[in-house]
Amino acid sequence: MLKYIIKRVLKAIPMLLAVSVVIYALLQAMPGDPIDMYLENPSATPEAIEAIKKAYGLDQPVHIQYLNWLKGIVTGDWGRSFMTRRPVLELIGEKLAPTLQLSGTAFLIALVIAIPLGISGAIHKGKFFDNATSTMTFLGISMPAFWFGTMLQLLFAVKLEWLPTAGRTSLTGGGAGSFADVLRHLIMPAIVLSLIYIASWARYARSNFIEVLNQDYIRTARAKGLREKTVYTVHALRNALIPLVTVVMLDIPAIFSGAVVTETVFAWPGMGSFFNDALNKQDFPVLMGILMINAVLVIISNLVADILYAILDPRIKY
Amino acid sequence: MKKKVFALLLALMLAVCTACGTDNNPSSGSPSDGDGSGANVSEPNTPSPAGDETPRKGGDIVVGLSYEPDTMNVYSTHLLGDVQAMMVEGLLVPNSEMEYVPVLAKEVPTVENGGIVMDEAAGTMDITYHLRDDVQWHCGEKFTAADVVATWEALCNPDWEAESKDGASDIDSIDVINDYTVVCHYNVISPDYAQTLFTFGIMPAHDIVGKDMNDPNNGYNNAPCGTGPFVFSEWVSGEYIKLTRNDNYYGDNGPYLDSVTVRFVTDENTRINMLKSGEIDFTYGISFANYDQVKDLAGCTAIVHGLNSWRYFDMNHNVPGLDDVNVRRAIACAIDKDALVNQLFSGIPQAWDQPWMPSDPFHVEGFTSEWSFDMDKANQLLDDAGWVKGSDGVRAKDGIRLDFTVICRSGTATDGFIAQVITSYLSQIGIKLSTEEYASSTWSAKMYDGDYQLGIGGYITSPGATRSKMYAIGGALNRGGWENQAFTDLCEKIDKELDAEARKAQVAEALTYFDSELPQIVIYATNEILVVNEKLRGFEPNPTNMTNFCQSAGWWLAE
Repeated sequence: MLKYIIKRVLKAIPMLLAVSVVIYALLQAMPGDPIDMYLENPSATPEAIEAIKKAYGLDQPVHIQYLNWLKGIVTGDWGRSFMTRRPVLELIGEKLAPTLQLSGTAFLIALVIAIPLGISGAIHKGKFFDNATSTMTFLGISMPAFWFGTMLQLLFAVKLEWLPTAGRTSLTGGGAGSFADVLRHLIMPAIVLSLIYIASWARYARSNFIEVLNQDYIRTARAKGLREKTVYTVHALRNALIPLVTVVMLDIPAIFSGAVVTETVFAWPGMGSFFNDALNKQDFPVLMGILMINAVLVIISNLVADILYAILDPRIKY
Repeated sequence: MKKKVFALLLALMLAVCTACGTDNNPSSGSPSDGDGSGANVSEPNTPSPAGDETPRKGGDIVVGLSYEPDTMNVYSTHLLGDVQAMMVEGLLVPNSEMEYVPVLAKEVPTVENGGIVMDEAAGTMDITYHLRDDVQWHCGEKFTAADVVATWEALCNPDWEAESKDGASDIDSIDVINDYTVVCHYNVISPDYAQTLFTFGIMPAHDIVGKDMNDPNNGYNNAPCGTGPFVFSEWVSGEYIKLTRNDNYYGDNGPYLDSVTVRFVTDENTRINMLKSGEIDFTYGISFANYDQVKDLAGCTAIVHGLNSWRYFDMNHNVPGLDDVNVRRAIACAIDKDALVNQLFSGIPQAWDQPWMPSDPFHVEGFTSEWSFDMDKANQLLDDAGWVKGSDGVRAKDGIRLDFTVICRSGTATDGFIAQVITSYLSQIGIKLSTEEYASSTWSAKMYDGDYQLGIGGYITSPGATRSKMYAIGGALNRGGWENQAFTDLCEKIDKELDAEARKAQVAEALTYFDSELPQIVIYATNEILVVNEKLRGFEPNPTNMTNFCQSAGWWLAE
C-alpha cells in the first residue's frame, strides 16, 4: 500500500504541472487585461497604469510570466493580488478559516443526515417515508441557494428576529465574536449549504443501497434466516458505501473552495466569494493560487478514495 | 401520521411565503413624475444642526457597503474611497452642489482672492494654499505644509504603483512659505486642479516619507492616520471596518457619532433584509428595480439623488458603418430615452442628452439633442445616406451591413436591459444588434483597447467641465476614436479657462460639436438610491466620486 501511495504521489507531480499550464493558458486566454480596467477611472493616468503593469510583470511575454509564477510557487512566493497588492498565500490563509467553518459544518451535517436518510428511503422503498424524503431531496437539488437563503433570512432574521441576517460575527454586544455568536451566524448558511449536499448524497445512498439489496448475497443472507438489521448493517451497508465514498471524497475540495452563492448571500468572508471576486477582476495570482490548491485537493481526495475502497472492500488490492 | 407530516410541511412553507410576502412592501406607482423628464429626486433628510433640532453626541451607525476596500490608501485604491473619506481629508472637497469648499485649506484659491496667479504667456499658474493651523493628525502630530509637499512628492515617485496620480505631474515644484502656506508652481493652467491631487487626501509626512508605499503592510495603506472626523479602529478582513470618533477634530460642527462601522455585504437583497431587520442603518447602490422595496421601509428614509454620472451607448468610429455620422444620428433618433427610463427603471434616472450632468454647474440648461427620438427621422436619415434594407430587413451599403455587436458587463442587469431595449428600437430602422456580456474587467479591457463595435457603460467623475480625456483626440478614454479637431480645440480652452462663465460658453459650444457628430449617446443621468436610518441627521448626499461619506463630521442621530 505504501509503495502504491508513493507511486501515486510521484505521478501527481507532472499532472499538477500540466494542470498549472492549462489553467494559466485558460486564464490568459480570457479577453482583456486585468490592469487596463483601471483606466476607467478618470483620475488614473496611462503612465500610472503602465507602471502598475510593469510592477506586476504583465509587460513580459506570457511564457516568461508563467515561468516566473512557477518559480515563485516552488519557492513559496505565490505572488501578490492585483487588487489588494497583498501576498496571495496571506489572503488565502485569511479566507480559509471561515470557509472551513462553514463548509466543514455543512459537510458534517450533510454526512450525518444524508446517509441515514438515503438508507432509510431504500429500506422503505415506495412507502410514504421514501416518497417524502425523495420529494424533499428533489426540492433540495432544485431550490436555488440564493432564493432559499433569502427566504430563510426573511423568516428567521426579519420576521422572527431569531438569527442575524448575515455576516460571521456581531458588531456590538458583549458576546460579539464569541463561539456562540459565530454559531448563531453559522446556522442559516450551514443549513443552505448542507441542503445541497444532503439532497445529492441521500439520493446516491438510496440508489446504491437499493442496488445492493437486490444482490444475490443479500438474498442468501436473508435465506439463512439472518435478521433484517444484520443484513442491512453487516452485509449491505459496507458495499453500498463504496460508490458513495467517491462522491463524498470528490466533494471534499469544495470544502476548501467554498460556496460562492451561499457565502455571497450571507456575507460570509470565505473562499467562495473571494474566488468569485478574483474571477470578475481577473486577479490572476489569486485565481492561480486557489485553483492549484483545488487541483492538489482533488488529487489527494482521489487517492484517499482509492485507499478507502481497499479498506471497505478486501477484494481491492494495490 | 401522514396528515400530520404534510400539515407540518404546509405550515413551514406558508411561514416562508408569509415572511417574504409581507416584507416586500409591494407598492403601486413609481417615483416617476410620468412626463419622462426625470425622476423625483427626494429632498435629503438633512436638517442642519442650527435648525429646529440640536445635534447631540453619541450613537453608532452601521453602513452596508457592497464591496470590501482593497486598500485604505486613497491614491492606490482601484475602487471608490467611501470608507477612506471619513478618515482622510484633502485641502478641498466638492460638496453636495458640486462646488469645492475648503477642508484643510482655509479657503478655495481663486484668481479673485489672489490664490491663483496665472502667467498666460507662459501657460503656467501658481496656486497658494493657506492651510488651517488648528488641525492635528489622528496620531496627535500637527498638520503642516510639510504634509502637502510629502503627498505631492509621493505621487511623483514613479516607483509608487498608485492609480490616481492625475494632476501630480502638472506641478513642477512646491514652495513652503511657512508651516501653513504653500505655493504650488503649475506647469499648465489647470482650472480643474482640484479634481484629484490634494482633494483625494493629504497623507502625513511622518507616516509616508521613506516608506515603501507599495507595501500593503505599510501602516498607512492599512490603517491610515488622517485628519478626518473618524479614526481608524479595526479592519476585520471580509467582514467590516470600524471607525471611531475623532475627539480632537478641528471643526466646530461635529463629529457627533461615536462610531461608524462599515460592513461588507455584496448581495443587494441581503442588504435590504439587513435594513429591514435593523442590522444596518445606511446603504446605497440599490437597484432601480428594488426601489419599491425600500421606499417605504419602516425606520428608514429612501433618498434618490443625482450623481455626476451617466450611462452611455458608445459607438466605435473605426468600425465600418459606425464611421458614418448619419448612422450614428439615426441610432440616436431611434432610441426613446424617456420610454426607456420610465419603463425599465421606473423613471428614477433622468433621460439626458449631454455628458455634463444636471448636478454639474457646467451643464447646458434646457439643451435637447437635435437627434431626439423620432423613428421616421431615423429611417429617413438612413434612406438619404443610401443604406438600403435587404431581404432580411438589415440595411447595407457597399457591402457593409448595419449588423453590430454591443458589449456590456455581465452581472449588472441594468446594462443588459438597456441593450435589449435598444436592440428592439434599432431593429425598427434596419440595424441589427447582438449582445455579448463580459465580466467587468474583460469589458473594460475590450473597451479600452477599442476591441468593440458598440458598448454600454457608465462614468462617474469629479466636478469640473473638462471632458478631454473622454472625447478629445488622443484622450485616454476616447476609445471609439472620435476625431473632431474643433471639439478638441475647445477642450483645450476649457481645460485652461478659469473664468466660470467663459467656461460655460465653451462647454455650450463644445456640446454642439458633440451633438452634431455623436461620438457617444448619453442615455441618462444616473440617480442613486440610498437608504438611511430615519434618525440620521446632517447627511447630505454627494454626487461626486468623493462619495457620500466625504462630509460625515456633521452626521448625528436624533433621539
